[in-house]
Amino acid sequence: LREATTGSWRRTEIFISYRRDDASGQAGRLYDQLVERFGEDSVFMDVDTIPPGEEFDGYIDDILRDCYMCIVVIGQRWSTERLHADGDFVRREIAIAFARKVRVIPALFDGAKMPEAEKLPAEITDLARCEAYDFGAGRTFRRQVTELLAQVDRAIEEAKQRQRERNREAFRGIALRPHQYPIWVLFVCALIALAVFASLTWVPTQVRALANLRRAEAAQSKGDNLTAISQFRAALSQVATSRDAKIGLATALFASNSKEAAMEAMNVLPETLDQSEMDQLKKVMPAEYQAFFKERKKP
Amino acid sequence: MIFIPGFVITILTFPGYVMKTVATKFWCDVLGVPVYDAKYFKGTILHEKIESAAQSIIVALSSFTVNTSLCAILLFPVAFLFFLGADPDGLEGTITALLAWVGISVGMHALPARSEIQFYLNGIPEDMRRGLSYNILRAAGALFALTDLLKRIWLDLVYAVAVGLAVPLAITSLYMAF
Repeated sequence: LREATTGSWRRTEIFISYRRDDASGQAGRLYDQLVERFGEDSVFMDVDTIPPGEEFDGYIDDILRDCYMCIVVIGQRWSTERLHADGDFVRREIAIAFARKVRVIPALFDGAKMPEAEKLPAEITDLARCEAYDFGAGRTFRRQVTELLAQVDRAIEEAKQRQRERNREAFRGIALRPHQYPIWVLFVCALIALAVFASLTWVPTQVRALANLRRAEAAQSKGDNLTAISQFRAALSQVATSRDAKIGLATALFASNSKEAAMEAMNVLPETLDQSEMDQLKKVMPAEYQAFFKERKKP
Repeated sequence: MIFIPGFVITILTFPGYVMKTVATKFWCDVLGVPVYDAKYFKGTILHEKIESAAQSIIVALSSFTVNTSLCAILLFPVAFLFFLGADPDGLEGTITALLAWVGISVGMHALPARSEIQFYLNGIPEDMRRGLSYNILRAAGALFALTDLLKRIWLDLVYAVAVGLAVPLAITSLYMAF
């Protein structure tokens, strides 16, 4: 799919159409220059590139279908009369190029002129309107080719861009519709959204509770029992199941040495205590409560 | 090391796969990148090639940002209850367990694979392989190459838990500071 949308599966980019008895020498030199620039796989000239056993007509048809550019070599002996003959390959090549919307560049050699539209077969009359590149006298062949190559570069880039756009348009037809999801996916997303909502509504209370717990622990470590008790109570009022707050509050209450506070501490403590919690409480819990606690809380 | 078959992980953590695919498809849709196929249970998506480095970053890191954010939010209550030493039961306990499962599942699929980032890097044409966006994408590629290796020792699970614990701690610290 990626290849199809980038056009990178292409091999032949430039097709050279010519008559062997007209300007085959110039066509061959042009082919060599193009191969030097774009690579052998990118340039097609029937003489060298048709595999043995391939049917000429069908092969040319396949190659031209995917080409970006067709250079029509026109020399002095490029006859418009032969174009009207049945099965004339040059006419067929040019016709397929136009049908495939391949850019056609006539390359004029040896002082040849552009053919007149009325002398051309109906399917290739557009050739007369193409912008030709004249390899006229007065310049070196290499320099002339260099200028043509610049045009070829631009044409290929434009053609590639057009091809990419066409491919993308074609693939857009099979693309999934934007912002549409299966029902079950929407259901999962809705549940997650609900969970997010629940989580966010729960968080402020928990943040305050944790902050109260931290403040209480800080106050307790400084021996400020009154602050510790109020902060532990605040934490428990927000999250009633906080075990740390319960143990901390009970510890602070026992440390205040009041009977009422000790009774409150006993009510706050959970059903069972682990060893570390018991060790923490023993430091402040009066002996009579320890015994009571052991009997009641740790059967 | 514990080995758990892939299909078991897929079933257990399917909310993470779903969110990863939805996040990637959502950003492709927002950026106008055609999407041809979406496998919600595999966390994979087949979309048009992206040639812009900036757009590649958005799509490539969409699941990372979305899944990480969701993981942090969903694990807020779980982490706070853990820090409070709370022992929730009944409905509160059930909700907490569900949030923990979904949060960890989503967080475990936050880290993209190295191959995913490489796909986006390769999609950028040669002449556009420069600039801040491209270099950020390259750095992400290097980072996720490392995390790919560490996933063999359950980095994805460690990452989800770490995100779930670190964010609530940071929030509480900020709350207490101000």
